[in-house]
Amino acid sequence: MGKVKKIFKYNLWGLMGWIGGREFNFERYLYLFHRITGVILVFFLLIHIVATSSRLNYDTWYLFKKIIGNPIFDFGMLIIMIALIFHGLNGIRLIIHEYGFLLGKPERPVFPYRRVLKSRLPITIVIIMVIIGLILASITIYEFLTVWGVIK
Amino acid sequence: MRESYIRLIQYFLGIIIFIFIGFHLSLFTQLLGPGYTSALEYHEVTARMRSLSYDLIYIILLFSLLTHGFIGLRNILYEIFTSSRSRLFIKTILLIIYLGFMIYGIIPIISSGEGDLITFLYGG
Repeated sequence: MGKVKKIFKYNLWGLMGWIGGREFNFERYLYLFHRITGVILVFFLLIHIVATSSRLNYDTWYLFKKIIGNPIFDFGMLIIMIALIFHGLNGIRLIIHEYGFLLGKPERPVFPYRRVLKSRLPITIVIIMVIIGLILASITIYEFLTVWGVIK
Repeated sequence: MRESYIRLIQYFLGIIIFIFIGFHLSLFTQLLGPGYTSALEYHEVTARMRSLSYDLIYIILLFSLLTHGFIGLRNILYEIFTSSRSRLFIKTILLIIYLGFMIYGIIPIISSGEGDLITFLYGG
């Protein structure tokens, strides 16, 4: 077995395969960030479950609020929110692509040949997702700026 | 279970999460809800705890997020560890953690407030 074949079969690169490998294009960046944000969000979820369980008791809840009530945690929350927005919108984009919503109806290859893949649509979807993401991120940033007292 | 089914579940839960998390987070914006600071006040939290509809939303969210997250984590770990022995170990460990957090997360939801699920299901 060739060296390259062996690397891909047994995934010898491990985590490095995320950033290495062939055809490193825009979608690979999205894939990389989707994975990184996914891992961050899973760990946040576990902490969130433990933290919100303190709501059964008034004193524990205020102790929890006291711990998280500082700008470092707020900033961390902002990062988590942006990661969540990215992960969600990119996930929707992946679903749209995988279910072939961007494919046209199959046609016979008769002259003049037409492309079945509506090639401009994937980019349109990315642009739409970016716009929605920017709107959601703006709302989030506005909320945090209000919390920090930057905006009254 | 076949990998294709797992992927289908992953996508389906992703859409569910997208909808429900939008609702969950709308509470923390002043545009649609009480805002980040007010939503974390104890009386607001307890008011949500007493609402049956919130209980249901939180249960759906908890199940969807944990399942979606752990399938994703499993996929990543499966890519890194390829031997069948290590995959069995990963599967077992993740399942234990998943079930542990599911139980830990569901107890405060079903046992909180006057209009909680236990009261709704069993009366009294």
